[in-house]
Amino acid sequence: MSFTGLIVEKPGSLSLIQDFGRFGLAHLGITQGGPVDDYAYSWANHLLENPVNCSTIEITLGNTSFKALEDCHLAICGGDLNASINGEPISNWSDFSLRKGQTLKFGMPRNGLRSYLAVKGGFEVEKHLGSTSTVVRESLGGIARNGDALKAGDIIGFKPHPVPTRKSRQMTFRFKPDYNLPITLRVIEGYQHNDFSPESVSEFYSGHFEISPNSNRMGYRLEGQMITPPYEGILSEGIALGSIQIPNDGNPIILLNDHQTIGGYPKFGCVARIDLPRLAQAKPGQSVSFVQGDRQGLQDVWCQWAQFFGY
Amino acid sequence: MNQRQFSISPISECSILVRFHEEITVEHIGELAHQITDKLSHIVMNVVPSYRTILIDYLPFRIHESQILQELNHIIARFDVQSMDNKQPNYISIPVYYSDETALDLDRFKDIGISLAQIIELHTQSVFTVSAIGFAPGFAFLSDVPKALQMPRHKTPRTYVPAGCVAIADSKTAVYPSDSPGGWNIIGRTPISLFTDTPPFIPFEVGDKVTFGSITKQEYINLGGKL
Repeated sequence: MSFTGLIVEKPGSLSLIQDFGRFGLAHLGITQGGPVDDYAYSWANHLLENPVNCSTIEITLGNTSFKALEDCHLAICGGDLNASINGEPISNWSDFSLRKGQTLKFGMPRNGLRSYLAVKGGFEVEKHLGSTSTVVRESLGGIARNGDALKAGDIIGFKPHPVPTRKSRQMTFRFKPDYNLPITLRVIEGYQHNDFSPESVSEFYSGHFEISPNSNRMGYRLEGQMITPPYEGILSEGIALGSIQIPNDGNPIILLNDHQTIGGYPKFGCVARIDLPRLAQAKPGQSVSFVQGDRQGLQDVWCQWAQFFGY
Repeated sequence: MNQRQFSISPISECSILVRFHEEITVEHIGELAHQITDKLSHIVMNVVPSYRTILIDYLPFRIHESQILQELNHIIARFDVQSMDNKQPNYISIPVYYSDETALDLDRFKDIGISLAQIIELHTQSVFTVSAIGFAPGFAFLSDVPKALQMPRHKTPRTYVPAGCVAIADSKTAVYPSDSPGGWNIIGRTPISLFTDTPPFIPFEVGDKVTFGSITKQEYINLGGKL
């Protein structure tokens, strides 16, 4: 373990260490965790030429600051949280250098909710059950291996490395999502889909939904159109990432990375993997609608993405 | 297993759900989940058995969907249902201190005419099967609680249930592996830790058998139990 790193001055409302996630333990009830916007997470590591599983910091809602104990090479991607160094704004979706003693600050979100901060070589965090990902509810991961979010005074280590002399590297404009736009999610129908009435199915696709304030890394709740489930409950079964649960109150819940591993609500299907980052960056009140997706086509795109980033 | 006893459906780009016919037991399903994990370890991320299903998360960029469907069909079709008959199931015995001070919901049982002694008798005489694991790490749903002991969960869950609490909800019983909120009816407490962060993490898997044994307060404390 190195003794150099970033010191947390202000942790903000939720700053979490995240690597790619915790896999192979779902049969014990242990969820995957990991970045809810895996696209932004992957770009942040990619800009630094890091291997894909490097630990990053997922910063939600901003109001966060870190001071460098040593010169370092960093990247930020994802939600635009008005990042600045000693008061000078820095570009989102880019890499940059932070000098010893300088403060990197995140303000209020301007676009999206969550920013991913990566360092060259990855933050040095000891793994907990095979991963550094922080899952608060399960008391797993993070720097103290107990599921705690970052606190003021925490030091997140990195290996000393040279900072680049070249100009900052920016992602091209066409790859940058605008997280504030209304969201259309592609749905892969499955699970109990065939048991929903034709009326419920058509209401689901024609309905307008809004993100509920009661949304988090476990799941995003939607309000607006109520969908009648075909029955109250089922024998619990395994939950896939992006599953669309329809509980008795008719308000859909889309399950994200910290979801419980099994559940007993009827499910309409799954949101496409490549659409989940847009959902995970959405703010309460933002509007959402659904369209039918083509599994094979979405699988091809997901595989290209996975191969590009080297998953 | 013949083709009528199961169905395999892709449910997302990288997940497949296998459903089983009623005559396939949870013991079969637990064993099959093991076989799938062992045989496809290089391409599966998670294999989750639960009651009548197995969910498989896999890496579609390492294997084509049609190929993994074929391999799963092969593994399941070749599985000999009878072979389990001679296999000794894995038994786990959990010591429980049942008492006025640990059975926090004793009054709910008294209201329907069940005494502490009857709870102990009914709960320790049953052999339970691990039907699913989830809700929280290491939280095992054990089936089935004798009719007389079945009790619906609290309408408003407790905000804090200490680790080790042994509880009942409808036809299921369970041990809370860690401190958490929870709505189940608490009938006792075990001093042993059911979830640790080193392998194998938990002492049982889906399909295993669990029994409970009654211990005294002194034994509970000697085994490290806290009150």
